[in-house]
Amino acid sequence: MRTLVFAWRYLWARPMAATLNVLLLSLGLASIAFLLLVSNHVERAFDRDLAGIDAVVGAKGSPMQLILSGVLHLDVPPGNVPLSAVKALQKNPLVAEVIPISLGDNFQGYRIVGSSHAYIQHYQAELAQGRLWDKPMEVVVGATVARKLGLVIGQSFVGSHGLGAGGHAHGENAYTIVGILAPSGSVLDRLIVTDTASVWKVHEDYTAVDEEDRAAMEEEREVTMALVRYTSPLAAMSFPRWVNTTTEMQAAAPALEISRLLHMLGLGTDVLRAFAGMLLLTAGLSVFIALWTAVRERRADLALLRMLGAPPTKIAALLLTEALWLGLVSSVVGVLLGQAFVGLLGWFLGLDNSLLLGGLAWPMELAVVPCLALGVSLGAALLPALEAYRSNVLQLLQSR
Amino acid sequence: MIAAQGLQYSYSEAIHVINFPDIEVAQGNVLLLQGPSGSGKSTWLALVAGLVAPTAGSMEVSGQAMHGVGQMATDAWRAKTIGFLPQKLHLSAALTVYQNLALVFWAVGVAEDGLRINAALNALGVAELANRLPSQLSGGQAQRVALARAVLMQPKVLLVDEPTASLDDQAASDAVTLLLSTAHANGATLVIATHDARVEAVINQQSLLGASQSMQRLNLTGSSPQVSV
Repeated sequence: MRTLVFAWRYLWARPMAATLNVLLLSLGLASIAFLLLVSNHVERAFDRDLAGIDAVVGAKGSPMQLILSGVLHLDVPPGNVPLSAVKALQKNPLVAEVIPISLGDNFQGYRIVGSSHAYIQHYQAELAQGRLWDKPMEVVVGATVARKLGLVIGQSFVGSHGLGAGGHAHGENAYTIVGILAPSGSVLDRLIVTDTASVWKVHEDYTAVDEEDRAAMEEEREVTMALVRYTSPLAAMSFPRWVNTTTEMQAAAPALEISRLLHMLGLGTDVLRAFAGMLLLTAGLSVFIALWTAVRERRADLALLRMLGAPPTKIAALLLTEALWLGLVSSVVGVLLGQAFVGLLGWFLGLDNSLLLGGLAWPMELAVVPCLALGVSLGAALLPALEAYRSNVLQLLQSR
Repeated sequence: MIAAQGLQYSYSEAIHVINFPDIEVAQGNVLLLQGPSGSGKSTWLALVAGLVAPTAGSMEVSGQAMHGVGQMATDAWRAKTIGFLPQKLHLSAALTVYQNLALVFWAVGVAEDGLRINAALNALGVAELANRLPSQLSGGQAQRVALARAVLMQPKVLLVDEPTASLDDQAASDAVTLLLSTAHANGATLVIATHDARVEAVINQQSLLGASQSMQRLNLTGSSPQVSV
């Protein structure tokens, strides 16, 4: 216990050197923590939002775009598909459930999604206030949307065309908020969900020139895509091929696409990881130089400890404990800096709305940070500790 | 007690061999280890402290033969038996006065005894400085603190290296007086390595030796050491 106290005092006896070393080591560790946290945030978001969705069926185009737009709501969809084609999917024996998704409008940057109650139930979201819609133009808002925009039950608003803020307002069709969802941590938190018919109504009212035109549009109604759940995992073998070859639609498997996406992200992560490794190496060298200098400066003090009866192992342990403190303080600062960097990146890129980088996370992988910190600092302290171990008391007696 | 017979020490190159005169110092006495720089004073202190083993001859300090003993055992023995006051005091700048003394308990590997630390500081008149850093002490205060550290474990032998170097006459006199009284109070054999003639003069002029104490001299010249009593 006393070793910890003395090592701490010795470490901070040179405050400038100690602070610089903590900072240098912390920056390297913060880079590692940042990478771990970003990767964890992204994987958690994917796991959470993709759970229970075996396939996404939509317009032909990029399958990854389909997943990103329809499930994670990060991209624009490749197009629309006929409602009749989506209804036909329901008749396929391999399909247990089809949840239609209709996109096209937003309110102050938050997407308005037309769907069914099954969409809410899929994420096991619960209502914090109010109820689910029971007729078109009633909406349920996600927890984040309600909080950020200050929306309340009974309030009305008009959506804007497009998926980002700033589109043309659908002035004649106001939505009414009938429910606010409790935070679920899923994509629903940042969506405004309504009946699919609401989306049709808004766009038919907006584009139909007369009743005949409206009737024609009703005949050709579309949705943006459908989320599909299989009756059996074996369906993964045949269902996508069936959709891709026999219909005008494409089926994308979220697991496959996200795995591709993570692989692509992984290439960039490797570069960052190498950079963080260089930072850590530099920090290790700096710690080594600091401890080596400390041993040189304190050579006589250490020899005196030997004279007082301390065995060489104890003197070496004192040096290693100093390094331990450096590693410990640096890992705390490094993790906190890493969390701050993630928060800053989320804020800078506006990703806090996507929940990809929102909130604090303490994944198990973060344990790597203190392990690395202790490894680097103790590794850097080995030679200085050996030098301390060899403290020559005769030199102390001869130094006048 | 310190007893040395046929003591010889050679450095690893075996070019420089020092032959030390035989000597026997009774427990509680004072030994002045005199001689110019390079005459072997430091080596003799190191032999007494068990930091180096003699190349030839025998040495016994407080009943402990100084050869054929393992390093760990010697470290433990030294912690209990030897007190050391170096010329440069080497008070740890990072620690307070109290912690500098507590460091001794840590070095020895025994539980810290706050009462004993306070008593040692009190005996040397520096108890009120316990929470100060060494940089906040005067030279005299620092020497008292270092002396408190040296006698904290109530050593049987107190080794002091050049205690009066760079001190004026008054300060040198005070330092020697303090050393003798502290060693006497602890019943320790006091070994003062010095080439300062004032040390002996102060002891003689001021009759600092107690009734049971006597002073011996070990004059080292490097090549032809001489002993006088």
